[in-house]
Amino acid sequence: MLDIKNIDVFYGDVQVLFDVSLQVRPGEIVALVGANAAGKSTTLKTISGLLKPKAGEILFHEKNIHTLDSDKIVEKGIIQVPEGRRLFPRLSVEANLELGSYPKRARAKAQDNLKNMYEIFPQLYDRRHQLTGSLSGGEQQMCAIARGLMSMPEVLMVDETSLGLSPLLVKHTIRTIKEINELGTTILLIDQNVNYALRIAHRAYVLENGRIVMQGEGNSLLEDPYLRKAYLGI
Amino acid sequence: MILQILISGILLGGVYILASIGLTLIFGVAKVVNFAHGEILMLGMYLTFWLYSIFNLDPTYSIAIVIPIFFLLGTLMYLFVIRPSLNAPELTQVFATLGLSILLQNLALLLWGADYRTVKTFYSNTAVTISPEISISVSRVVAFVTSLLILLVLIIFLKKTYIGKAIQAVSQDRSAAMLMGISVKRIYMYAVGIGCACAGLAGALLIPQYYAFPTAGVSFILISFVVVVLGGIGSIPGAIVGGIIVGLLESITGVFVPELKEASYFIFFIVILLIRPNGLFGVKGAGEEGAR
Ligand SMILES: Nc1ncnc2c1ncn2[C@@H]1O[C@H](COP(=O)(O)OP(=O)(O)OP(=O)(O)O)[C@@H](O)[C@H]1O
Ligand SMILES: [Mg+2]
Repeated sequence: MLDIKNIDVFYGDVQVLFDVSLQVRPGEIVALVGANAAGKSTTLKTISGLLKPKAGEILFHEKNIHTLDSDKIVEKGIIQVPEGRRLFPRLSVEANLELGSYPKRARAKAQDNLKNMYEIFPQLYDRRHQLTGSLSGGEQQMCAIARGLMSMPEVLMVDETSLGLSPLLVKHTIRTIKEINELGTTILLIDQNVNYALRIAHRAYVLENGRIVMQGEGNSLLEDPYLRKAYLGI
Repeated sequence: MILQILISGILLGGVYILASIGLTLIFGVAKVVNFAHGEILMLGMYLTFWLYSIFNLDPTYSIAIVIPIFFLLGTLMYLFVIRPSLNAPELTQVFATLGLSILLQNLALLLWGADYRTVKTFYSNTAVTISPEISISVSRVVAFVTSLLILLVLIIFLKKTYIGKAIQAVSQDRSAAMLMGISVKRIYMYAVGIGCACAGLAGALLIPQYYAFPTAGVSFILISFVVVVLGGIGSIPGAIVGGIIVGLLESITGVFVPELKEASYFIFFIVILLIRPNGLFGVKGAGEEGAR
């Protein structure tokens, strides 16, 4: 349903993505893994419309979206939880969540969704009037994911799911992502923790220096000798 | 005596808040300094003056006309002056709104001449005497109360509506707002529209006490800059506190050292900048992540 076809992406004159292609099918969890500066975040920014590819195209349900502005892309049902959470620091948890339902597709059901989010993330309910700038890292991550879900996305993209979280919280986050997926949301995630990412992903892509160098099922990539050596250090 | 000074300072501050809040809103959201803000206020004075002289409309009622007209004027200013300069270097942005300010001054001179005009309402010269020492001008109270009501409506709008929350979101993190599906350009347009409506309103409320003339906006934009930088650029609570402080300062020095009235808040302003470079309520880096 989400089809990235041979995109080249630049920052100014510097090319960062080279001929990148990847697909996300309905209901899947797809992981995009790679070292620092490989171009993972750049890929997500391009899907979200913050960057425009110089070549190639991005299709969503067979329609071009790479020419659209970011707000139109969200309206179509693709949302991103950006690297570093990027919550609005001087707004409350609840106001952040409500902003998640800014797209017209989600506004009518905003109140129901808010209730659902508080059920999935009870700690957010307790902190609903607190400014998000004062939340702990784990709470911020929950809030960022919940804010993304408030838009009722078809595809939820999460950049750096587990960065800066304790191992326990990482486990909790990963479990949450799995549950969200089981409820019907397709997921494209980036994680520095290749081990975790490949464990929950149905399929995965490996990005190196702006190029896709490997792809396959999560489990089979975990068995791959090159990947084990380069990313898991085994 | 002291009470009298405090009261008139606070009353003055109320209108200064309204005059400055649009400037801080436009800067906070679109990261553009609207140098034409004083001229928008001046046009608000003229519109209110003409509504009074032609239709005999009281300035307090004319705000119902001033709000939509100045909101529209703001959106046009965004579309034709600010938007084209958003991707230009900062200096070009300055010239865009500064150029507009000069254009509007000249236009006003051409249309209405250099005469000083004002509105004398039935309450213009009435004052309420509370005690032998304290008497309060009714028109100042009317302007103050109306300012506060408008401010209250603005704050509720920002806190409760989707557009209001989106305005706050864009001012706090522009790219995150884009990722939430907020059309940043449209929010800029609303912010400039609302900012201009506030400036026009301030003009409407000031006209019973001040004169409208083509360069009437100049002294108000200077005051607004002091208020905004004092409170912290882009901060609404900052503009509120800053407005009251500048109003008080003006009324205190106006009594004790009238020659230094205008100089005094600039001195205060420099001192504040030395102690708190981001202003009283400023957030570090509020001016970063510019409109580009
Ligand atoms: N705004 C920018 N301007 C210029 N270059 C950039 C910009 N953002 C990223 N880059 C460069 O693009 C390359 C890819 O960056 P990107 O953020 O996509 O990497 P990443 O795979 O997400 O890395 P990380 O794991 O550290 O988040 C890097 O070399 C980076 O320096
Ligand atoms: Mg990244």
